[in-house]
Amino acid sequence: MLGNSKNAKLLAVSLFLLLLIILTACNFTFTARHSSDLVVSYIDVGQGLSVLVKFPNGTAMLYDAGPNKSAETIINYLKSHSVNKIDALILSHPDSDHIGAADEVIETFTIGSFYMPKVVHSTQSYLDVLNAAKAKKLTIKTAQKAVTISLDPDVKVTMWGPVKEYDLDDTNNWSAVVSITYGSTSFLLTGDAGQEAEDDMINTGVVEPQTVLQVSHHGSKYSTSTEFLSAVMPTYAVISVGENSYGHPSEETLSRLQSYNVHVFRTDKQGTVVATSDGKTITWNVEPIGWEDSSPVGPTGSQTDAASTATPEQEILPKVVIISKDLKEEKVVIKNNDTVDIDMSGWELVSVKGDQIFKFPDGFVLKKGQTVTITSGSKAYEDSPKVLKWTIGNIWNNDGDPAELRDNKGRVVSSMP
Amino acid sequence: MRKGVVDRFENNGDIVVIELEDKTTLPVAKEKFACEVHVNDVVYETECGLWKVDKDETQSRLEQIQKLMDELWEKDE
Repeated sequence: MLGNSKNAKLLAVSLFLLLLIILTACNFTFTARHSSDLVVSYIDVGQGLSVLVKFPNGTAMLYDAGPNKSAETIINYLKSHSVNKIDALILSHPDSDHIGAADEVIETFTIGSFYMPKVVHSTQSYLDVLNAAKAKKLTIKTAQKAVTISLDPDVKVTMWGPVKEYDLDDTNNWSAVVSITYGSTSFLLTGDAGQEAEDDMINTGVVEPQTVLQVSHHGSKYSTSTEFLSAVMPTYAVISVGENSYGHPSEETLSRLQSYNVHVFRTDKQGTVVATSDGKTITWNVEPIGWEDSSPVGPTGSQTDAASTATPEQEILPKVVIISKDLKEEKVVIKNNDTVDIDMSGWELVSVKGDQIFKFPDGFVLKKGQTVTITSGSKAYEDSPKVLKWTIGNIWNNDGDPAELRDNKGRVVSSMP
Repeated sequence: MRKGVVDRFENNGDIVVIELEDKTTLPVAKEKFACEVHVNDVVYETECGLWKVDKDETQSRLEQIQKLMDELWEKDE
């Protein structure tokens, strides 16, 4: 009897302790996951650019600091979003509509690391930035390809460019191009990078699909080429633009974005545009613009141009693409870039080396803009419609194995070497 | 007489954007320049409304800024 009572007490204490441990663990997990948003604000600075990135762990990065006259707007925006320290400041290139307010930003906030491309510029705005940095005893790191910035362990920040030095007259191509990846969402900041810089990035092999594109050079027609759009395949695009006499954004760029079915936001029409990512989906503070009011001229004429440059084959095939393939993890991600939901009944994903074929389940619909991951190997699992399980067997040859996506008519819709 | 520094080109080089001394910007058609013009040139407006480049001041300003950059920039590994 006595022994039983002792045992019961011991059991009760053990259970209590176990409960305590479980509760603490749950609470920890809950708290850690709860503050899990990456927030990207394209601040309305008029004609210019300034983007605030707030990471899930509370750190902050500022990419560009608008024209000189937008200093108050930027500083107030940061303060109202509880930014006291800018952990990383990136000035994409020295044009005055990107660095104009940077001196006042540097004077106002504590700055962690400071990045700029190493290109000399003689304007008063640039000199003021250098002097503000000197007064704060900051040093400057070179913004260039392959630079990584580690502010939050859950978010990858990598520079794609500039990949080389350009002519001094060609400041736009010096732009620091920054990719921010959080979970399955990604944001590309391009500054004013022109087509030459876009081509150079494509040729160095750094360009990967991104969810959100900051349209380069305020929508100039000399940026955002069809080649670059084909490689980046954005679902969303943000144009930071204000009143200007340079024709930004151009009808040509708008029609290219339209032909790629990109949802576009514009700071001149919508004010500050804010994207919030939980690592899976992105929510916006405003609705994307309708194409009918995107351009004063109307995109009808240019739509025809876009259609005439597309090959007939591209027009017929549904725009569903393989966007990534991880041979080791046995995961292939497929995205619907089309304007409509696609019924993938009868479609196949093929591992070319082993000629193994995954047949999509009957009635499987991939909604427009959505992705589906096909899993195989020991970690394969099913969470339809986001994740489909092929088999627990290993499919992909780790030494290289091309993937092909075929539609119900057997046509190769997308492939990845 | 207005004076400034060429900040950048717009419209594929047809427009020269000048940052004036008060840090406002002024777009000027390239035809308004009597001679060849580049980014970083110190420029001033003449009485007849054309723009000219001050080569000496351009050079000395560039040197001054390059020196400050060398002082602030971290050395590449």
